[in-house]
Amino acid sequence: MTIIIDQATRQSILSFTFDFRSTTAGVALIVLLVAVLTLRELIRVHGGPRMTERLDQLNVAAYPLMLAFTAIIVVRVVSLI
Amino acid sequence: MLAVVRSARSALERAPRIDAVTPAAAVCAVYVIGLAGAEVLLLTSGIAAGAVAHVALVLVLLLHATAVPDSPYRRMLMVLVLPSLIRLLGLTIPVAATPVAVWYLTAGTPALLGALLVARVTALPRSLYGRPASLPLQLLVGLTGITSGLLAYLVLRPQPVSTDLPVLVISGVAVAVFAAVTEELVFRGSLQSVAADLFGSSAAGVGMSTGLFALMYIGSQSVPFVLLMLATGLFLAWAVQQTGSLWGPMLAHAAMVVGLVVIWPVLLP
Repeated sequence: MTIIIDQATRQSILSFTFDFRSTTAGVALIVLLVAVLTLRELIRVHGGPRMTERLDQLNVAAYPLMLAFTAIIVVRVVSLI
Repeated sequence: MLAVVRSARSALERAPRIDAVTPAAAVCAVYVIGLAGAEVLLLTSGIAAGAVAHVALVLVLLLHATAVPDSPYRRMLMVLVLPSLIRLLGLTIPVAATPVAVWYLTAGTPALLGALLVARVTALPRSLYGRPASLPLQLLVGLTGITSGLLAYLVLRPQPVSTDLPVLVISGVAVAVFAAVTEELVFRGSLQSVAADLFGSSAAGVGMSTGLFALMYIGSQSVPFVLLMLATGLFLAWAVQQTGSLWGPMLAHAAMVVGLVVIWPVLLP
């Protein structure tokens, strides 16, 4: 219905538990976050002054992924309480 | 012998010049095909396979963009990260037990952040989101969203999100901000302007934003709906090209999705 929550996504949200989605798609997202953060650090340490603008590029993915990671952790902690 | 050399030389001079645009177009086409493949994989093989495909695509795009000097080509690679990122956010964050408005709020906030960051990195022209030259024209474009929303509802027939008025209002605001604004910023904003810059043609910008916009609706699992989104995307992209402003398309998109998700399911059950 919208790109962010389309019909297939809506079906996935309703058909699969948050636990299942966070341990499949969620883990993939967290792996991506770790990879992006690792890449940021490698560029920051070894890239030199000309590479610092590359850090801005990686923030495009890093910040949204960090928000998503936080949301996943909060929901899982709340479900445990 | 000399005549042969001269004729070969003139033939070479008449041959089409292969410049930097053609490899960029080829690479962008490969990434778009990859995106389509990830969406199809999500539909056919499940969440895990689709998520892994989207993650791989984001990683490859980011690595590629890191290796390329600053140019419209690099900006295009950055923009192409967003569709996969948005798909991953929608799959992982929402909790089924919460209202639909909360789904849009929780998945939409990082998506909107990503869209704003890409707009900054790609130097989205200020004229697109600044004060429009003609406010009545933008409102006129915005009104077309009512029609497209009704058509979309008649094609898809989604269930009402709620029958409570306060919930409907909150859902409408969430959908308008976190779906419409974000998607317009990404497709008719960053993607269209970067594609026009990269390929040296506003028609290329319109074509690329329209095609990718429709592609992301494969998950609707409805061919008529995808075709409707293709037509809607084409109109909105054309409106941006003609008016130079994103405001009208944002209003139209908001009217469309609010109608589709919130209003028409209640008024026309």
